[in-house]
Amino acid sequence: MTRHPCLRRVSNMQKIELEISFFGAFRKYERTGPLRLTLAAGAGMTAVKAAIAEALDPAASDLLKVSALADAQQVLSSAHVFESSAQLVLLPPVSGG
Amino acid sequence: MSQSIHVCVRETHLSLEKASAFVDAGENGAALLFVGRVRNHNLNKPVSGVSYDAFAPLAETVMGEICAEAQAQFGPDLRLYIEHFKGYLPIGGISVIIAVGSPHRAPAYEASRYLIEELKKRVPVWKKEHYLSGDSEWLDGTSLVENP
Repeated sequence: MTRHPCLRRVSNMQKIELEISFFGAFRKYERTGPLRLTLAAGAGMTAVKAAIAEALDPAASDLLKVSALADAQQVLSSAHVFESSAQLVLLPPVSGG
Repeated sequence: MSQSIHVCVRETHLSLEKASAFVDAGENGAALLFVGRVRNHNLNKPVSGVSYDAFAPLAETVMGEICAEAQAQFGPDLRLYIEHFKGYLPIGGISVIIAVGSPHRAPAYEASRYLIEELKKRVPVWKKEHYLSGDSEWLDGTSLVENP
């Protein structure tokens, strides 16, 4: 039996794993280590933030909107595309000094 | 990073002596020290202490960038030092030290102000205040998202 072409495309889609560590006000959500998300390669910032929102308490959604994703070198722009697995950090608004 | 810049996120006591020693140089006629300390009140609430969280790898990268910007704006001969504390501090504890060494005082004042203002807006560090009432809360801050 031939599989439907759409199903074949989905099953062949490359998956990436994002490991997201929390800081500041998000620390309380890191109960058992970093959050691990599996997404399709090529996911954008909006999709990644939506997946994080789904995994967190709905009460965190306002804070999530003003929080940035970063890696160890830089804060990622809203246009960033996630092509491969990565270790990331979720950064709420900063208040050092 | 330039030999004239030192940045660090530290989980141990921040040393004023080390900061002064770093920015001292024979050609410098000015040495300026800014010390951030935990105060006993905020927004009319009595504070008992503050916990600082930080993403150290990126915090140190951004502090280095800010120092490089200060040298570009105020003088390549500036010696610049930033250390930020991570962990719990009681009232009076030192949360941040910024030291600037410069041949002349004007660039030292300008650079010091630039470093602390940019640090507060850009460096991934967070403050959780603990109150005498027993409550505690993370403080609002500046978003790192462009056009939040």
